Amino acid sequence: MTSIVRVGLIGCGNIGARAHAPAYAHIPSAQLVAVCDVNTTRAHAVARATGATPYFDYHEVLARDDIDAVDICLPTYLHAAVSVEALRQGKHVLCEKPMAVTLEEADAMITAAREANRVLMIGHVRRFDPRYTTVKHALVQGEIGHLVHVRRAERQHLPFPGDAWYWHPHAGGGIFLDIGVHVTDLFHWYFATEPETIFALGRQIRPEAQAARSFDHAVLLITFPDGRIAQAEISWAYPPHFGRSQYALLELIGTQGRLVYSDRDAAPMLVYDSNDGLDLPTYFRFMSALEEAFVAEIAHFIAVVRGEAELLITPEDARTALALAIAAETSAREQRPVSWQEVAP
Amino acid sequence: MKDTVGLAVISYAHLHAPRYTAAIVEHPHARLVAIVGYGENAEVARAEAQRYGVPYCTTLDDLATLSGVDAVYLASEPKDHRHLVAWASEQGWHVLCDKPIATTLTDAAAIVHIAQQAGIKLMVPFNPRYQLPVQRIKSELESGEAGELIAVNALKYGKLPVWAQSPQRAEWFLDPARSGGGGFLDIGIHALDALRWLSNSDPARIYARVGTYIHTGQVAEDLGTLVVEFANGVIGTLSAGWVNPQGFPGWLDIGFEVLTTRRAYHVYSPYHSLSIYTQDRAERRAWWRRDVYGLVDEFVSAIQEDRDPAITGEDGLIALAMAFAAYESSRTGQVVEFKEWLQRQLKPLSSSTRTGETPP
Repeated sequence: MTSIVRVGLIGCGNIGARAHAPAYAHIPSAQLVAVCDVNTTRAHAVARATGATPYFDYHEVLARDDIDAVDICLPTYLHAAVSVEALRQGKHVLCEKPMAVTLEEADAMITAAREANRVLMIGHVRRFDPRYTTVKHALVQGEIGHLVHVRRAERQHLPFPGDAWYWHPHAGGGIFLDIGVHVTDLFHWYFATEPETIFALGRQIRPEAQAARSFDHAVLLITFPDGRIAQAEISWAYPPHFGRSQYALLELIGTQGRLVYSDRDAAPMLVYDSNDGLDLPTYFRFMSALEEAFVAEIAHFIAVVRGEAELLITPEDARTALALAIAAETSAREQRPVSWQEVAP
Repeated sequence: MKDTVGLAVISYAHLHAPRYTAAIVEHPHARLVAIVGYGENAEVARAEAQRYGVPYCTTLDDLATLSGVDAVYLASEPKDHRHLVAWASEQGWHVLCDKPIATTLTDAAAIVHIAQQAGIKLMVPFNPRYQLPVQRIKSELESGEAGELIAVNALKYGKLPVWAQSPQRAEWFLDPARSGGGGFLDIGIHALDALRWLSNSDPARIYARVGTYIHTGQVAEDLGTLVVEFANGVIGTLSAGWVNPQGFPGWLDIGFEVLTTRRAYHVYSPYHSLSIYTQDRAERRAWWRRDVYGLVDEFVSAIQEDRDPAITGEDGLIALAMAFAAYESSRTGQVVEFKEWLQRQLKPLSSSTRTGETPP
């Protein structure tokens, strides 16, 4: 395909409206032609901002023959059903992470993509973030030798109310799924091999998590062959205002050296304000990913659809990230290490 | 109350010895009586004795003839701790015993028992308890100001001991028969104690991976990563070892990340430091090791006030057991139920802990 890829955005919530929709203006080979949300106000707002046509029922977007691909930014529990339907309608699919809530759903998505012979890409945006691609490049170049240990943290005060789908175990999957897949995919990407065991502890700290009976704080320890270790803390239970310049941390140990990144490194200025006190201003609209990362992610999807590139993250990779996140939650709930074999395809 | 506590330093095997000797000399209520050149680095011990103008003893018997000794600081190889604690207790002297308390749980239990029977103060110096930021966190947890503790992540990375720019030889650190283990034990044990201290609880379950990744064939282990769930539900993690490359600016990289229901604390440099850059070197150097002075002060005060020191031999034993439980978890791939595991480790020992002799 060499023509412009015509895209319908399904889901105009936080990530759809703020991260994905504006990205298309920076991708000449794609055109956002339709935007859809059951919330008509949101759909209209994004339509106005992008010049796309608003829809309130995604079936109407899928029914449009002039749409080549859909960009699914729905709550996690809707990912599989809408992706499968879209693939069966012959659309290429870019779907936000986490891939799905269950592995059965993820496998159905992979099968649907194969049967329809369409591109299925899960939006693991860290893989397109210049911070994390720079780290990957350094690893591939052998700058710190052979990777033996990764410590990762993604932590904040989740600003969404208790009825938001993020908190709910079967809708967003809580911290283990929503943030868990980010860290497990990063581990899998960096170690570039299959894991062996998963151990995790989970906590329900905030009232929102307790009410939803989902976890909002967790530590993970995932081992890879030769005893190599990945450790993570993921949390929505940090105090209000935490996050921003302190959100992410990444520390790597290799046989020849160490590599350390923290979001403090991306917030290189201190500001004292007579009203607000001390702050480290950040330079990105989003706390956890650069806007450029979303543009790169979507541009890559478009390139794959156009036959110009191979998927940098396959649906099987995304399934692995999900399987590890689910295994971590199983470990936390059942208080035992979980073998990769239990969740491997 | 004793106005001055007389202290002798036994052995310069441990790289900590010069720093503790300096803190003893500096302390207004401590008096350095003598230095004993026991085991490795006797020539450094001799030079230090000369520098401080105190008698240098080549044997323990020489030290026993001196008057004015109330207590000893042991900086020997850990394998010698049991023998030295037994000997000091026979003199009626209190013991500040550097970490790890011993190379085996058998010896650790014996040391605790010997000190109890002899009625001497036994303290193990774990630095984080006297690092000012960690102390601040502890006090804000105790006052309730910080709310409930949720989790503590600790980091402790150092360099391979034999890389130290020191006149002291450090090869013994690499031999687990002499030191008790490798890098995870050597520097991680401070943080294991700190996790337990901050959590104000005892470990319930430990899961860990420990191994040799970098200095293959040279060490027992150079890196370990542990997750501990305390009995009160607090989560602790530790990543520790001899993993800093030669190019790391300075020796140690220490971190504590503490989350409570009200606060998050990040301590990435517990010491008061400065940076030095030269044509071929970058170094971050601590200019105030308040922790060492605080540890010596606590030991001296406990003797003066005739009370238990803030860090006891039992604390030293449990920290060692946590490290060994991490070895066990790593070996089996299973979670170690700490209390039951420790009881099983100590039970067969109860008959052999009565004397200072190492069992055959």
